[in-house]
Amino acid sequence: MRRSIQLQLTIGLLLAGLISGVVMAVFVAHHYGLLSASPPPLMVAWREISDHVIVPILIFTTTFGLCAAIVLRSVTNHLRKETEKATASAQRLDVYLPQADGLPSEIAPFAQSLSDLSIRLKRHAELQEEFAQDAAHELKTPLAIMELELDQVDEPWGSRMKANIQSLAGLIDQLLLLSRSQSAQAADTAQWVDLGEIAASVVGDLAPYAVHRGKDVALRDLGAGSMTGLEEALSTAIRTLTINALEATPEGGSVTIEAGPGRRIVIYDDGPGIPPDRLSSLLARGKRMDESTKSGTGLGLAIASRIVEAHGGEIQSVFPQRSAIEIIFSG
Amino acid sequence: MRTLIIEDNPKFAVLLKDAIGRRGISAEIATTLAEASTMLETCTYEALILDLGMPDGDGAEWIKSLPATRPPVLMLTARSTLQDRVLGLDAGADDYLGKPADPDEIAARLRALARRPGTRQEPRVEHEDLVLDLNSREVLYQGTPLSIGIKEADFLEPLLKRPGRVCSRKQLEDRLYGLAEPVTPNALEAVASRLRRRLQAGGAPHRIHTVRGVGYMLTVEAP
Repeated sequence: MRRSIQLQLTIGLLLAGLISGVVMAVFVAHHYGLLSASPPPLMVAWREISDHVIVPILIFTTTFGLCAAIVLRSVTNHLRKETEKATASAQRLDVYLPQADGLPSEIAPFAQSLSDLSIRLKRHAELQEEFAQDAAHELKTPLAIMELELDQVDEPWGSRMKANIQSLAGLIDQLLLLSRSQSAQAADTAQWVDLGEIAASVVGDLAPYAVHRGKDVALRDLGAGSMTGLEEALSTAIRTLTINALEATPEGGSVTIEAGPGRRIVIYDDGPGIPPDRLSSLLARGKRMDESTKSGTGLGLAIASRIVEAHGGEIQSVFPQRSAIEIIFSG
Repeated sequence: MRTLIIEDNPKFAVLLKDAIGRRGISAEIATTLAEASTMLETCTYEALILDLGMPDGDGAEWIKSLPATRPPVLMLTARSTLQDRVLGLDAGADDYLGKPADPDEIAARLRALARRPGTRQEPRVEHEDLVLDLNSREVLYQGTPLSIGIKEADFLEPLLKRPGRVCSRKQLEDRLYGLAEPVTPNALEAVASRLRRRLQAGGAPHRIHTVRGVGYMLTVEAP
């Protein structure tokens, strides 16, 4: 159980008053022979106890309690301000610097280690971003060499391999974007993005893909909102989820992206629908709905889900009412 | 066509040289920026293929140091997210491709770059035997004129320029109707369906797809 310092201090003062009161009462009783064979009259005894025990203890505990309350309030105010500062820094993944003076020497070391932690956290986010960049670069160079080597192969498997190389390169880009989304606030790369515009560009990009497969993709803008984030990452995530919806949709069917109202995107499809628990395992483990389907990997879905999470969003299934998934961004 | 590949990975450079060589584009290789600078002083190239991260400096910075008369630059790099593309194009690259890229696309972009300066705009656009004469606004399929009105031809032009890609409603509305002119929601769809009927009557395999909520797209039906 968590008790406030104020409550603990009050209980402590009351206990100290009580114990010292009893001890002093015993001394006074012994000194004035209150417990002897011939005790003084009751009024006299009461006055002795009141003058030498109750009054001094009351004066002491009240003065001490008041002073303690004043000190405590000033410390609490400082702490509250510092907590607000630290919370704000944590949200931006930024460095937290405690007030140079003003914090009591007992609390200053704690604030300092919090500050050190925030510095290490920011540095960690930057390192992760740098590492992801380097890794993406290192992974793509051999892929680029493979692509050119396959150019000398005039066989059907050559073009299949090329398609695989392209989808691998796409995954590497998605991983890089995920890493950027996670450290976007630290790297100050987050921008103000319009969800309606993102949805429109995804529909526009995927229309040829859908038409080629005898399917339809459409946009319904119900007044989508704006938010801060990485436009390319969000667009990649919504694109992956829409491709998945298109793959679940039979020929002749359609997929509709509904943008808004507010920071909300719903992707409706003509597929069988995904039960909520199936969706969460799909997004968490990166499995495909239908394990037998040909191209690509389920990793894309897991990455899309994490990109949405990094932007403070959540993906839910609207099943069984409709075959659709809903992406809601909070904040 | 003669190009210069500026790339620090020798294996990739040689493979790229061979790949574009098979597509009729000859290339020489420079493995450092300093080497590339020397080669540019002594020879003329119609285009440069540049990798961003070079051992003796950053490719983007190097472009800025070149004279204005430099050949067009195609950046070909493993850094291919939007942020990188914007940085590369801002630095003065004329085009940007992420690795791994299809050699056909690299060759096509190089040819487009070499064509770009000084070429006059083609007075016609065409795709799969469907031709739009930009001056007379006449539309022909396999040489036979189709009776297509001015509004329909205006509608067709942006679609024909980017077949298989979506043109937004906004873009088409701005093209077809003046700022003051009121546009009814069905006006664009009416033009699209007239155009569809005319294309079909003319026997063209081209289809105008409505991408609901976004715009229109031209595709060609397989025979």
